[in-house]
Amino acid sequence: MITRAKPLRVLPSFNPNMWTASVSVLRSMEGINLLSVAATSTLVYRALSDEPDAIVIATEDFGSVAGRNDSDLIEVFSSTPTVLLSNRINALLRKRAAAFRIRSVLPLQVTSDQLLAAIQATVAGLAVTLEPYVQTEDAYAASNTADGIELAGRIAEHLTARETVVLRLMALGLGNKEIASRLDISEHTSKFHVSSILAKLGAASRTEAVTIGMTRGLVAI
Amino acid sequence: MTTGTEKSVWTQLSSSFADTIADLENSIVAIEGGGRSTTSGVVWRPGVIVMTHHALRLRENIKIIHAGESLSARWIGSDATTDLAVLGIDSDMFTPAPSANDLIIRAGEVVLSIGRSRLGDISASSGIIARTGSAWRTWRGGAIDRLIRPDIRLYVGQSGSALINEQRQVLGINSPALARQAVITIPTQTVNRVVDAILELGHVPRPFLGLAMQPIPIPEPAQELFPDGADETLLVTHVEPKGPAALAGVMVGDVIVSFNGEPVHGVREILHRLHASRIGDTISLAVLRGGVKLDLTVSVADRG
Repeated sequence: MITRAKPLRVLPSFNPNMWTASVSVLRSMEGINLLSVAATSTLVYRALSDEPDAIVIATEDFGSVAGRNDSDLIEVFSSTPTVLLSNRINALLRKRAAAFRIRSVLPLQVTSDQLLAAIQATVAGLAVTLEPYVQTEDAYAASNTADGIELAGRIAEHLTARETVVLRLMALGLGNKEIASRLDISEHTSKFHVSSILAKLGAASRTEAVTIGMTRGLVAI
Repeated sequence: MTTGTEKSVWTQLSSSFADTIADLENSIVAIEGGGRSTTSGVVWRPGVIVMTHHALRLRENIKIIHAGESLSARWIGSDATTDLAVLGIDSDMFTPAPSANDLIIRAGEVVLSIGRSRLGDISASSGIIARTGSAWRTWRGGAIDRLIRPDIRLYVGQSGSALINEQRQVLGINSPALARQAVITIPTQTVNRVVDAILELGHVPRPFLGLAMQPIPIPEPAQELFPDGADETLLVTHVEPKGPAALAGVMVGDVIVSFNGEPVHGVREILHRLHASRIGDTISLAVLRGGVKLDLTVSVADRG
């Protein structure tokens, strides 16, 4: 174990209501120099000016962070080891995190010890998740049982009304272009809906998405 | 150099390929279907030509190019899910290609793909069977009876060409549109099934009930209505207006007690049974509604 001469400079980015006890404890831990909290809107600026060794970002819905200065954020996250904390970890969040080059995704409720270990490991170049727990949940959710469906309902984001319509058209065998013309939207928009559906349902293909839709009561058989 | 009557392997192989193509020439046509290029088609039965659906843009003024002549063909029907289209032609100058439903196909067997170019001459490729497998569904949900993936190249205009084995039998129709970057051969068995349906009904029927369901635990107060040992069942979450379930009186919120007298073990099982059923089959559905058990009869319809 390499003992660091200087403590790790960690930049936290939190919504006020997501501040947890673990992060407060982090402030008083040896080896961590917790910088003042950055609002998500000033994250890019703070990352560039403070040059932290690591970033800890907590958000309920990554979509609210993303969508603003995407390329700047990707720049920040790929050059600074980042740990993302969320109270809703699902396939969509993980996909988005990966798109933003964030390797480590953890539940908001990790202990301070786990958070410290995660930050150190991420700085060392590793990717950290509570993977076995999540995988078991996913596998269980994938099983077509009542408990599984209930769990899946908690894990998976619900499809929007529009996405349900698109899923039903996919079940009829329509391709992206045909869906676009049927709904009078652009092919680009229809592809976007299809990707979102696949991510939310955790499906690897259209056929799988349709089958999952049928087993979840979204698509009539 | 050949000595006496011995021919080199090269000569034998070469002649057998050329002879096979010559043998089947009268069963392969070029079709002017409205795309950027012509496409190939196989004479499947007397007066019936099969081609790939994605290559057909027109529904009228479809032309068959053969031996320098242009003949009219009419569109009979298509099935987008299996990428097949069926044309009719009033001419007896063609010979249906020989095919059989249950040919043994093994990976590694040498095969030919025979189609026609846009000028009407034969356009062929060769390769081996790369993969075989059991039944699968296309990305559009079409049922394909077996997996045949040949390692061949389809040149422009060769969509809809026939895949031929060394017995000079047609293994199926080649399509570049069913898998990414791979040629898939729609097997003879599937082509026959689809042709039969299209000739009889104009389309391939798809059994449909018109209801969406999701699994739930069996409601405790109603436990005794359910067979012993069952621990979960299905809840109706959506009923398609005017669909078979709607006509039978099924309502959203109904809890399925039994399906043709048997307990249900999930939507997949219902899907299985549905795919095996025929249009017009009746299904007795027992449901729990407001604490009361009702017996309904659903008639399997064609999704169309």
